[in-house]
Amino acid sequence: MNQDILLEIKNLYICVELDGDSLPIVEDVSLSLRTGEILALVGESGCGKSVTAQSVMQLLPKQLKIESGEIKMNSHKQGKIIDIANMNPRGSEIRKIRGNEIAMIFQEPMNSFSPLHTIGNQLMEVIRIHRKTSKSEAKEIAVEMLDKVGIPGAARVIDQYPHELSGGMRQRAMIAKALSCNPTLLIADEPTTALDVTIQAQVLTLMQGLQSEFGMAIIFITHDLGVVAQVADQVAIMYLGNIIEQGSAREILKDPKHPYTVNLIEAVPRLGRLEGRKALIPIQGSVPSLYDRPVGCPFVTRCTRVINNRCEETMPRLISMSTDHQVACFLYNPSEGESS
Amino acid sequence: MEPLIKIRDLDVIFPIGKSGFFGKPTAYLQAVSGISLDIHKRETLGLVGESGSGKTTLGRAILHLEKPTRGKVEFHLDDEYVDLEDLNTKGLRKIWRHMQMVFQDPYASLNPRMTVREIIAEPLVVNRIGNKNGILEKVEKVAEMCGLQRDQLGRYPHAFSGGQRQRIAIARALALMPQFIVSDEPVSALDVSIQAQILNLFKDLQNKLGLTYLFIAHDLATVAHVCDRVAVMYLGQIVELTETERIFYSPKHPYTEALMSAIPDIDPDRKMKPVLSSGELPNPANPPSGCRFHTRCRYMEPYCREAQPELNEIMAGHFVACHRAESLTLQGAVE
Repeated sequence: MNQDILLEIKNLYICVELDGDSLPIVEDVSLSLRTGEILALVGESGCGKSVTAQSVMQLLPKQLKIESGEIKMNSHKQGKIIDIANMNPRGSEIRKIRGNEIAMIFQEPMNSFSPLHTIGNQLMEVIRIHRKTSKSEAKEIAVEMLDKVGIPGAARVIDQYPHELSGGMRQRAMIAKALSCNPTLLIADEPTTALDVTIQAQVLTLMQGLQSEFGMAIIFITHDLGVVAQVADQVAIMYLGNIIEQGSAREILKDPKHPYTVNLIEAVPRLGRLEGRKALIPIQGSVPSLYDRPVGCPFVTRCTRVINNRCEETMPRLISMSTDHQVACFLYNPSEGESS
Repeated sequence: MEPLIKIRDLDVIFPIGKSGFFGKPTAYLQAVSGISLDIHKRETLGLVGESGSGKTTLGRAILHLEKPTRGKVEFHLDDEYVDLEDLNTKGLRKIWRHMQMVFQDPYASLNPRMTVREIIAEPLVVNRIGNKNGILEKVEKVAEMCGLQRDQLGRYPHAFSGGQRQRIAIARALALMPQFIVSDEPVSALDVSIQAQILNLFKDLQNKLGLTYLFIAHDLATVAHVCDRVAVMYLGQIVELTETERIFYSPKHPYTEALMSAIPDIDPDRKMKPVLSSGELPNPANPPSGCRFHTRCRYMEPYCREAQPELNEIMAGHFVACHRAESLTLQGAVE
């Protein structure tokens, strides 16, 4: 594994057990993330973006399991490369990593705080589990972290309970908790979706600032392409458990190749196109259920550019459009799959 | 042309905090405060603002689902204005045939134990409109208008996706052939690719049926796309009201400017520069004195703390509540 690569996911398959059947919900996902980079995982609900991120922390719900594949991480704190996919989700190995090297923040901050303990105690708990510090040192670190995320009066807030903070402040406190052990990777699962635009802008600016200060990498899960454009270096677009396009966020937003990505961008209402307010171009139909997953390309049931006899039968592989842009679509790969 | 709905000096005040079980309320929250507004026939009026600004309460108060504490709502029906205040429950039921509401969460607003056909028929049954066959025929007609197939009508809501459920909720609102629909965040629970389908459906129905909408949303880009006029709310008051293009490209209220500056653009070359770098909505139970926005406003002058600005018409059809509206040059959304 290359030195500046922090996380490398290879051919990851995650399956769900339903009525005795084992259905794949993440198929053949490969991703790599460099130190200090922001990667956005984008897709509609049920596309597998959250599950992929949860697997990196071995936090999958009971019914889901990693079927095959590698999740390799270059552990700076342990000074070696570790394979998370093989770890026991309840073992001590993963516990050393969770909250320490990889931290996670969520859409709803109330879920990541206990309502019964003060903000300060909950921050200090994380710090004292992973770092050798005394209680008073931990408290100092906690106050410093709350201060860094822009909570006014941190010394006072530390004795408050989560319900006493507003939504935006709670979000900040959760970020402080996640960053208190100086993780090398932060997984942010829709952290701004429940916030107002004004607060969302503040939290995004804050995250970018902290990212450059601490130099951690971020996996940013979102469905909002505007947020992707504002914060991400890299992007992976997912549909029905597959990555259908990935690479430089800039290049993909400016010059999308996969019909799904193209449609998704067209379906977003934008201010720049207000003149005459044309009807939006929606994507027809809806995402098929896991039971009806098409055999070939997962998008084939809604795609307007289906190539007969190819898309329905074979799953296109990711091919390179440029050094930093890959797409899985037969439109750009005329020869593949023809003979088979 | 006469407006469809006239709203005058509307206040909605909620009692909060009680001393003891039977005690009197110790404080009051003014969710909607002194709002006057005309809603024109066949227009889509957008209502935007942060959570807690009173958008939903205003929407509900217009329908008298929430009784206003003070003020008037008048609805234009058969060439005269009906004051909703004067109506008893029976009268309100009658007027609600013409005014309906679509809610945000299609997972919560549909009864899971009723079939789609029963759900859409319910308003007709409740209002005793038509006989059985007439109702069924009507249900099929509105369902078709909303993009639902006839063979889906016997199923239960759980069999449908979020977008389809919202279509059912819209069909139910349309069953009585209302003139006016309040839609409270109708697409914010839906996926992006589905949002566009529902927004187009709203437009399409408006063109076909001549509907008037009050469209409540916090997603400004969505509002920009579907609304003819937009009202911006802050802490229970309207701070700016005008045509969509004007509000987005040449806003006159500092709060509107702040909202526009926070929209994340899908173009990576247009980095957002949020104006409100800190601060949140003040507690609505204890709003700031003078201009309610003065605590977060970057153009604040000492007198803004003292006097409350009125909603003035600074240009034809452009209403702003700001002491400095005429002198400020504000930045709108980038074109």
